Amino acid sequence: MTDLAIETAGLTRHFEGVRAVDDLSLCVTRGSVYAFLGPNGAGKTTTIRMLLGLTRPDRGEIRLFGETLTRSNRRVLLRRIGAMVESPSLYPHLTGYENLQVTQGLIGLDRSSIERVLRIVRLETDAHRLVKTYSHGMRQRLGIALALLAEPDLLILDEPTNGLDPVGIREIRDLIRGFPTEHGITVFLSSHLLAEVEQIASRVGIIGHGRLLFGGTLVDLRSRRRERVVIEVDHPQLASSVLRQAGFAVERTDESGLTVELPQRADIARAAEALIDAGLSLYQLRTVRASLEDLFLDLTSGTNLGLPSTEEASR
Amino acid sequence: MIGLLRATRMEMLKLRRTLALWASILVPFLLVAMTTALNLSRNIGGRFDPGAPPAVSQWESLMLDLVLFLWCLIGLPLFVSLETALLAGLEHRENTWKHLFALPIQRWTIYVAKLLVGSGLVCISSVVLAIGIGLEGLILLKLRPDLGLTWPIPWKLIFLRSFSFTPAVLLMLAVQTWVAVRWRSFVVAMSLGIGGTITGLIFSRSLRIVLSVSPHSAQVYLASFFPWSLPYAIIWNERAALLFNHATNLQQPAFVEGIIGGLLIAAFGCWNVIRKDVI
Repeated sequence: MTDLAIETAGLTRHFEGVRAVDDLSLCVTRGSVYAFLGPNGAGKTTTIRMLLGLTRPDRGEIRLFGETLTRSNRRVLLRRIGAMVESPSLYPHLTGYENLQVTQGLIGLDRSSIERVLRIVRLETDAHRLVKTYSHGMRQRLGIALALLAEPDLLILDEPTNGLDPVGIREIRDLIRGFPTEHGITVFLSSHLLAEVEQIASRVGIIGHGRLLFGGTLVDLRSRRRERVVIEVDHPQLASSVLRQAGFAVERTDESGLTVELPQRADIARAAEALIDAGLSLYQLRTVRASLEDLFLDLTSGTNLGLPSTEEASR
Repeated sequence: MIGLLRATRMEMLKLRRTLALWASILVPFLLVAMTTALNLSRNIGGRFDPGAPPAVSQWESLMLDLVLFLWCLIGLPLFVSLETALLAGLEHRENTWKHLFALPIQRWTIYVAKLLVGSGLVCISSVVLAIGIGLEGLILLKLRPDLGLTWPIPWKLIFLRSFSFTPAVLLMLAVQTWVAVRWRSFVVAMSLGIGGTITGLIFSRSLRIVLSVSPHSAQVYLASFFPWSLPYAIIWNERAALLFNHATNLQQPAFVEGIIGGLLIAAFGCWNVIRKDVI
């Protein structure tokens, strides 16, 4: 039995000449929370639609629980998957309970499954209210409840915290965090904000322009953050030209100082010496690491950081 | 088959608190209320159809020359367009297609369930229409005895006439369902329905004129094969046979076209929708 819940190879899909997903290869290990990150329009939802058989890929292969997804085994594999694609698919004129009843009745599940998922998403008291009276957070929770009805092994959630306030985000995050440990569910979660998922995800895949830019653990991602030096001086512009003449890469200059990339520790001493020799007053010199968010933005904006571009490279 | 049964039950559950369910009661009821008002304001000693032979029951005239005439000509095609658009709209509104089609069920069951529930709503409207005709007759018996309706109310005949055209609705229902499901916009389905009704109206008028002159004209066939005027063609043929003793053979082709054509379009629509990517 494979330990991968999802595996794709060379997944490609075009829409009217635009390559929405381009040669995407990713692996999601069972029992993990995998965050699939990328800016809007990066190809996250198209990938999810292909994983669920809603959209056919032009090229490539999808393997779910070790089996290649085809038209003939689609239903068998979907029995093990619960999904919420983009916004929750709800009928506003029905109550929360009736919404769950529609899916429960279609799949032919026991009525007790409704009570079970209502408890998980903490909607028991509001279950008999019409969905059109629900808050955004309650709708998201009901959407997750729909995905959990059939006791899936894999939960695919497309931007589940989209449009939520901080309290709502925390609620959903707490809910998702417990799925692998408490219910044995693998979670594949898409988001356009790294900060939202870094507390719960064990692995991340970063996608941009349809291509996987990074795939691996958060530890891998953090280890790739570059060290920079922030220098505060009396004349930042002058300091900037001094350092450039000395062969250093100045990234940013503002009124209080400048940020410089200094790969070697010895470079820090050399840069300080150059500034003092030029007659500048050096007030402060400190090293900083780029935040994950900076790294994510660098990646998705196309900056080449020399990171592995497929899951395989980082496994 | 269990999957289809489940999908149909759930489709019925979705009808709760919707206009679709109310429309199947209100639309035929309003039509009957309108014809009751029209009949109550007739001249003293007037008849529902002055051209009909005196031997023909006034109940037949009431149905074939007014209530069912208006229902099949205008009410039913618009009703079918509205109902199918509302049923598809239940899924389009929040794009629940993506959820339904990602469930471990056969996709065709969702589409066929919509068709079955649409057919069920047409049947409900026929029941309401039949009850309405009976009540209209009762009111006219009490308030306008001069119109010649006789006691007791011929419920069997009323129900028979109110359901006589129902199988031929299938073609119109299948076309409207496919369009309503395929195109997200409510306007597309309703425009087709209104366009079909108006075109059917034009064809039906030609049918009426031509039938009274020559029942075997090519135009008669044209009108009898247009999906939105099939129910009217059936009612008109019943009327022509009963009231004017025209020997027409258009009823059977209209039924065959309605049922066979309906099944073919339903199969095509189903195939087309389940193969389409859900965006």
